[in-house]
Amino acid sequence: MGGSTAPTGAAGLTPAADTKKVEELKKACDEAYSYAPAANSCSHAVWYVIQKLINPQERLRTANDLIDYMVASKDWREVTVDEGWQLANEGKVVVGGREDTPNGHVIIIYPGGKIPGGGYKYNFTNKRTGKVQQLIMHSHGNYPRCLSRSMGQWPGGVSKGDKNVFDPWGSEEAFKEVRFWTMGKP
Amino acid sequence: MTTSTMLASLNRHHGGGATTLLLSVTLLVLTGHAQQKPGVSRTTVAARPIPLNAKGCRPATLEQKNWADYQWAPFESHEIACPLRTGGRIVLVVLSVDAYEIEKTLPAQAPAPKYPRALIVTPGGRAVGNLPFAFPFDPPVSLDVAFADWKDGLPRTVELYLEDPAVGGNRKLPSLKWDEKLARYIQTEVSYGR
Repeated sequence: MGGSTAPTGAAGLTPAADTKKVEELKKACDEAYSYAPAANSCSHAVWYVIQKLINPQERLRTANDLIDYMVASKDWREVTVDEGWQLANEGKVVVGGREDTPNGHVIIIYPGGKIPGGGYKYNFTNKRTGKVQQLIMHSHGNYPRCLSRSMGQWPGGVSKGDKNVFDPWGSEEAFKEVRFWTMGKP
Repeated sequence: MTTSTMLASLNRHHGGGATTLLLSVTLLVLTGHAQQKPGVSRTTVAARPIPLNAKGCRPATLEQKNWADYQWAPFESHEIACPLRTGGRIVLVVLSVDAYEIEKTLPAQAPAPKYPRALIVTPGGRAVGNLPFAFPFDPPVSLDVAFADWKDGLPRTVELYLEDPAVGGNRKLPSLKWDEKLARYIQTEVSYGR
């Protein structure tokens, strides 16, 4: 697996006018990552970025509620992961998420090139031997980076742009149900 | 009615022999021996789901490897067969790949292999369905499988439970149901998450 892929943007470069917005998005993501209430809460991290860059009055919603809200909202629209990547590299806030019972998960696309993801260790119980073992998570391909915080112990669920949008969910079957939204019209 | 009140009632009407009779019937059902008795419905056997035991998986035989298609070729040396047994006989075989062993051999920077979904096969070699993942391990998730709703010696439902260390967490997956017309197990629910 190679290194990071450069963001393409409309003309292969991030326009100068967007550079400031990209830096603001990156700064907001970094602050959200360090925001104490977000230490164990994906929705607090995403809420921080939305409040900072879109609406200071935005109310806090759980991951499932935020996804329901974006689906029903006229202000948010769904985009593909690649559209979301382009928009993040223009400094736009793009939220990714998947509902689940009892808790869904939400992330923000972090600006920058795509990265392979994986590379971290995780524990599991071998069902053939009953022993707890450790493995390295291998890359499932190049995807946009993400901001992610999580209440769980999964290393792929914690990212300050160093893991990609696939990593929090970790499997093709779960990731195929992850959707992305951004604010505003195309 | 509890077992003790049932026994008391039977003994009142039929004498102490009822206790022996009821215990014998119970033992027959619990041990699965009723299956061999003519006239006893097989629906009474394996009323509870039977889990597929991952510890019972063995390297697939050459014959079993022939059940798989070309997508399995990269994993041929790590194919495993996991038999589902009831009453001492093999009812179905789940053919999969031993991801535990494959992962041990992968360099740290290697991309994640795309493992084939496990196959449900009759002992005669007819594929009758797919599990949604490799069994029992499809990194990073592990799959628990149980066969339920037994009728005429065959399970009509395949119950699936996913152990997912990622943010999705552990969860029950939609069951596979036996489709009489297609003569295979199919997924009747499409939702993966909530």
